[in-house]
Amino acid sequence: MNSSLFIPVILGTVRKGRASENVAKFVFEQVRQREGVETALVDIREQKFPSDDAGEQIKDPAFSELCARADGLVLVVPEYNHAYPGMLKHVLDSNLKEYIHKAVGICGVSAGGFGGTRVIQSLLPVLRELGLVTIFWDGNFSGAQNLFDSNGKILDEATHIKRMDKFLGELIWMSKVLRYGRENISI
Amino acid sequence: MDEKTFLSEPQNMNHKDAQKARMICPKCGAEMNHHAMKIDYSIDDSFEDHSIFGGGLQEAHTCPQCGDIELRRAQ
Repeated sequence: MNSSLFIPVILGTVRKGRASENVAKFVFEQVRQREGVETALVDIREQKFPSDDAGEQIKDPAFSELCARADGLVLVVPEYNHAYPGMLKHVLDSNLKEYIHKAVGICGVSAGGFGGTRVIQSLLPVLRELGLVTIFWDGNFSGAQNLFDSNGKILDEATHIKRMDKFLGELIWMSKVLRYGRENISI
Repeated sequence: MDEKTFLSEPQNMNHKDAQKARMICPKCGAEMNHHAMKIDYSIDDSFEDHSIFGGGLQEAHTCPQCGDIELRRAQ
Protein backbone atom coordinates (compact mmCIF):
# COMPACT_ATOMS: atom_id res chain seq x y z
CA MET A 1 0.00 0.00 0.00
CA ASN A 2 1.23 3.51 -0.81
CA SER A 3 2.97 5.04 2.20
CA SER A 4 2.14 8.60 1.17
CA LEU A 5 -0.94 10.17 2.63
CA PHE A 6 -3.68 11.21 0.25
CA ILE A 7 -5.47 14.39 1.29
CA PRO A 8 -7.70 15.88 -1.41
CA VAL A 9 -9.05 19.42 -1.22
CA ILE A 10 -12.77 19.72 -1.92
CA LEU A 11 -14.16 23.01 -3.18
CA GLY A 12 -17.62 22.96 -1.63
CA THR A 13 -19.68 25.34 -3.73
CA VAL A 14 -21.06 25.44 -7.25
CA ARG A 15 -22.06 29.12 -7.15
CA LYS A 16 -21.00 31.28 -10.11
CA GLY A 17 -18.46 33.94 -9.15
CA ARG A 18 -17.48 32.02 -6.05
CA ALA A 19 -14.57 33.59 -4.16
CA SER A 20 -13.84 30.23 -2.58
CA GLU A 21 -12.27 28.99 -5.79
CA ASN A 22 -9.16 31.10 -5.21
CA VAL A 23 -9.03 29.93 -1.62
CA ALA A 24 -9.27 26.30 -2.70
CA LYS A 25 -6.42 26.75 -5.18
CA PHE A 26 -4.28 28.41 -2.51
CA VAL A 27 -5.00 25.65 0.01
CA PHE A 28 -4.42 22.96 -2.60
CA GLU A 29 -0.99 24.45 -3.34
CA GLN A 30 -0.12 24.41 0.36
CA VAL A 31 -1.10 20.74 0.65
CA ARG A 32 0.74 19.89 -2.56
CA GLN A 33 3.98 21.26 -1.16
CA ARG A 34 3.88 18.98 1.87
CA GLU A 35 6.33 16.11 1.71
CA GLY A 36 4.77 12.68 1.84
CA VAL A 37 1.32 13.97 0.93
CA GLU A 38 -0.50 13.49 -2.35
CA THR A 39 -3.49 15.63 -3.08
CA ALA A 40 -6.11 16.54 -5.68
CA LEU A 41 -8.39 19.51 -6.12
CA VAL A 42 -12.00 18.38 -6.34
CA ASP A 43 -14.62 20.83 -7.54
CA ILE A 44 -18.13 19.69 -6.61
CA ARG A 45 -19.41 21.65 -9.61
CA GLU A 46 -17.77 19.01 -11.78
CA GLN A 47 -19.32 16.06 -9.97
CA LYS A 48 -22.76 16.23 -11.62
CA PHE A 49 -24.76 14.46 -8.96
CA PRO A 50 -28.46 14.02 -9.79
CA SER A 51 -30.92 16.12 -7.81
CA ASP A 52 -33.92 13.78 -8.00
CA ASP A 53 -32.56 11.50 -5.28
CA ALA A 54 -30.03 11.75 -2.45
CA GLY A 55 -27.73 9.82 -0.15
CA GLU A 56 -25.83 6.71 -1.14
CA GLN A 57 -28.37 6.02 -3.88
CA ILE A 58 -26.59 8.64 -5.99
CA LYS A 59 -23.05 7.44 -5.36
CA ASP A 60 -20.61 8.54 -8.03
CA PRO A 61 -17.97 5.80 -8.47
CA ALA A 62 -15.10 8.22 -9.10
CA PHE A 63 -15.93 10.46 -6.15
CA SER A 64 -16.46 7.48 -3.85
CA GLU A 65 -13.15 5.97 -4.94
CA LEU A 66 -11.41 9.26 -4.25
CA CYS A 67 -12.90 9.42 -0.76
CA ALA A 68 -12.08 5.76 -0.12
CA ARG A 69 -8.46 6.39 -1.07
CA ALA A 70 -8.24 9.53 1.06
CA ASP A 71 -6.60 9.55 4.47
CA GLY A 72 -7.95 12.99 5.18
CA LEU A 73 -10.04 15.70 3.56
CA VAL A 74 -9.82 19.46 3.37
CA LEU A 75 -13.16 21.14 2.79
CA VAL A 76 -13.10 24.69 1.47
CA VAL A 77 -16.55 25.98 2.29
CA PRO A 78 -18.16 29.38 1.89
CA GLU A 79 -20.70 30.63 4.37
CA TYR A 80 -24.12 31.13 2.77
CA ASN A 81 -26.78 32.53 5.11
CA HIS A 82 -24.80 31.36 8.14
CA ALA A 83 -24.62 27.77 6.86
CA TYR A 84 -22.98 25.45 4.35
CA PRO A 85 -23.95 25.17 0.68
CA GLY A 86 -26.71 22.65 0.14
CA MET A 87 -24.86 21.14 -2.80
CA LEU A 88 -21.90 20.28 -0.59
CA LYS A 89 -24.19 18.37 1.78
CA HIS A 90 -25.76 16.64 -1.21
CA VAL A 91 -22.33 15.49 -2.40
CA LEU A 92 -21.00 14.49 1.03
CA ASP A 93 -24.11 12.45 1.81
CA SER A 94 -23.40 10.15 -1.15
CA ASN A 95 -20.78 8.25 0.88
CA LEU A 96 -20.52 6.68 4.32
CA LYS A 97 -17.99 3.86 4.69
CA GLU A 98 -15.48 5.93 2.72
CA TYR A 99 -15.29 8.48 5.56
CA ILE A 100 -15.16 6.41 8.73
CA HIS A 101 -12.23 7.28 11.00
CA LYS A 102 -10.68 9.70 8.52
CA ALA A 103 -9.48 13.19 9.34
CA VAL A 104 -11.14 16.32 8.04
CA GLY A 105 -10.27 19.98 8.30
CA ILE A 106 -12.46 22.88 7.24
CA CYS A 107 -11.43 26.15 5.62
CA GLY A 108 -14.25 28.61 6.11
CA VAL A 109 -14.67 31.42 3.61
CA SER A 110 -16.79 34.52 4.12
CA ALA A 111 -17.36 37.93 2.63
CA GLY A 112 -17.45 39.38 6.13
CA GLY A 113 -14.88 39.44 8.86
CA PHE A 114 -15.49 36.19 10.71
CA GLY A 115 -13.62 33.86 8.36
CA GLY A 116 -16.49 31.48 7.86
CA THR A 117 -16.64 30.52 11.52
CA ARG A 118 -20.41 30.07 11.39
CA VAL A 119 -20.26 27.69 8.44
CA ILE A 120 -17.57 25.72 10.22
CA GLN A 121 -19.71 25.44 13.33
CA SER A 122 -22.74 24.33 11.34
CA LEU A 123 -20.77 21.75 9.40
CA LEU A 124 -19.06 20.05 12.34
CA PRO A 125 -22.02 17.89 13.46
CA VAL A 126 -22.61 16.76 9.88
CA LEU A 127 -19.02 15.62 9.48
CA ARG A 128 -19.13 13.85 12.83
CA GLU A 129 -22.24 11.92 11.83
CA LEU A 130 -20.58 10.90 8.57
CA GLY A 131 -17.86 9.23 10.62
CA LEU A 132 -15.14 11.79 9.92
CA VAL A 133 -12.83 13.03 12.67
CA THR A 134 -12.58 16.79 12.80
CA ILE A 135 -9.35 18.54 13.72
CA PHE A 136 -9.23 21.53 16.05
CA TRP A 137 -7.51 23.94 13.69
CA ASP A 138 -9.56 25.68 11.02
CA GLY A 139 -8.69 27.75 8.01
CA ASN A 140 -10.37 31.15 8.17
CA PHE A 141 -10.58 33.38 5.10
CA SER A 142 -12.37 36.67 5.74
CA GLY A 143 -13.25 39.30 3.15
CA ALA A 144 -12.87 36.72 0.45
CA GLN A 145 -13.61 39.08 -2.45
CA ASN A 146 -10.57 41.17 -1.55
CA LEU A 147 -8.13 38.46 -0.50
CA PHE A 148 -6.71 37.85 -3.97
CA ASP A 149 -5.41 39.97 -6.83
CA SER A 150 -6.87 39.77 -10.32
CA ASN A 151 -4.56 36.85 -11.11
CA GLY A 152 -5.83 34.84 -8.17
CA LYS A 153 -2.70 35.37 -6.05
CA ILE A 154 -3.35 35.78 -2.36
CA LEU A 155 -2.37 39.26 -1.13
CA ASP A 156 -1.34 38.62 2.46
CA GLU A 157 0.49 35.45 1.62
CA ALA A 158 2.76 35.29 4.66
CA THR A 159 -0.10 35.40 7.15
CA HIS A 160 -2.14 32.76 5.40
CA ILE A 161 0.80 30.43 4.80
CA LYS A 162 1.58 30.61 8.51
CA ARG A 163 -2.02 29.80 9.41
CA MET A 164 -2.20 26.96 6.92
CA ASP A 165 1.01 25.52 8.29
CA LYS A 166 -0.65 24.95 11.67
CA PHE A 167 -3.85 23.69 10.07
CA LEU A 168 -2.02 21.20 7.84
CA GLY A 169 0.34 20.13 10.59
CA GLU A 170 -2.61 19.04 12.67
CA LEU A 171 -4.50 17.50 9.74
CA ILE A 172 -1.50 15.47 8.58
CA TRP A 173 -0.79 14.25 12.10
CA MET A 174 -4.40 13.20 12.54
CA SER A 175 -4.46 11.53 9.12
CA LYS A 176 -1.37 9.48 9.98
CA VAL A 177 -2.69 8.44 13.36
CA LEU A 178 -6.11 7.47 12.03
CA ARG A 179 -4.62 5.54 9.13
CA TYR A 180 -2.56 3.53 11.58
CA GLY A 181 -5.62 3.01 13.73
CA ARG A 182 -7.85 1.94 10.85
CA GLU A 183 -5.32 -0.61 9.73
CA ASN A 184 -4.01 -1.91 13.04
CA ILE A 185 -6.16 -1.15 16.07
CA SER A 186 -9.34 -3.14 16.55
CA ILE A 187 -12.37 -1.87 18.40
CA MET B 1 -21.81 -9.14 -1.43
CA ASP B 2 -23.17 -11.54 1.17
CA GLU B 3 -21.49 -10.97 4.52
CA LYS B 4 -20.89 -14.70 5.00
CA THR B 5 -18.46 -14.53 2.10
CA PHE B 6 -16.11 -12.60 4.32
CA LEU B 7 -16.27 -14.81 7.38
CA SER B 8 -13.14 -16.81 7.93
CA GLU B 9 -14.51 -18.95 10.77
CA PRO B 10 -16.70 -22.06 10.48
CA GLN B 11 -20.44 -21.48 10.20
CA ASN B 12 -21.32 -23.52 13.32
CA MET B 13 -19.71 -21.16 15.84
CA ASN B 14 -21.75 -19.72 18.67
CA HIS B 15 -22.93 -16.10 18.74
CA LYS B 16 -20.09 -14.86 20.92
CA ASP B 17 -17.50 -16.33 18.57
CA ALA B 18 -19.32 -14.89 15.61
CA GLN B 19 -18.91 -11.43 17.05
CA LYS B 20 -15.18 -11.91 16.77
CA ALA B 21 -15.31 -13.26 13.23
CA ARG B 22 -12.68 -11.62 11.08
CA MET B 23 -13.53 -10.12 7.74
CA ILE B 24 -11.37 -11.09 4.80
CA CYS B 25 -10.67 -8.40 2.23
CA PRO B 26 -12.67 -9.11 -0.94
CA LYS B 27 -10.01 -7.37 -3.02
CA CYS B 28 -6.73 -8.86 -1.80
CA GLY B 29 -7.62 -11.64 0.65
CA ALA B 30 -5.86 -10.14 3.67
CA GLU B 31 -7.48 -10.10 7.09
CA MET B 32 -9.21 -6.77 7.65
CA ASN B 33 -9.19 -4.70 10.82
CA HIS B 34 -12.49 -3.96 12.53
CA HIS B 35 -12.05 -0.40 13.79
CA ALA B 36 -15.50 1.14 14.17
CA MET B 37 -19.17 0.58 14.88
CA LYS B 38 -21.47 3.00 13.07
CA ILE B 39 -25.20 3.51 12.93
CA ASP B 40 -26.27 3.58 9.30
CA TYR B 41 -29.58 5.39 8.93
CA SER B 42 -30.05 4.14 5.39
CA ILE B 43 -30.75 0.68 6.82
CA ASP B 44 -34.39 0.21 7.67
CA ASP B 45 -34.24 -1.88 10.82
CA SER B 46 -33.01 -1.56 14.36
CA PHE B 47 -31.20 -3.41 17.09
CA GLU B 48 -32.17 -3.45 20.74
CA ASP B 49 -29.30 -1.36 22.03
CA HIS B 50 -29.95 1.67 19.86
CA SER B 51 -33.46 1.17 18.52
CA ILE B 52 -34.49 4.56 19.85
CA PHE B 53 -32.44 6.13 17.08
CA GLY B 54 -33.46 3.79 14.26
CA GLY B 55 -31.08 2.72 11.54
CA GLY B 56 -28.87 -0.35 11.60
CA LEU B 57 -25.56 -1.00 13.27
CA GLN B 58 -22.63 -1.55 10.94
CA GLU B 59 -19.08 -2.67 11.55
CA ALA B 60 -16.38 -0.78 9.62
CA HIS B 61 -13.38 -2.83 8.49
CA THR B 62 -10.24 -1.58 6.74
CA CYS B 63 -7.71 -3.75 4.93
CA PRO B 64 -4.13 -3.06 6.09
CA GLN B 65 -2.76 -4.43 2.81
CA CYS B 66 -4.72 -2.61 0.12
CA GLY B 67 -6.75 -0.05 2.08
CA ASP B 68 -10.15 -1.42 1.03
CA ILE B 69 -13.02 -0.44 3.32
CA GLU B 70 -16.04 -2.62 3.97
CA LEU B 71 -19.12 -2.34 6.12
CA ARG B 72 -20.75 -5.40 7.63
CA ARG B 73 -23.95 -5.64 9.60
CA ALA B 74 -23.09 -5.97 13.27
CA GLN B 75 -22.92 -9.60 14.39
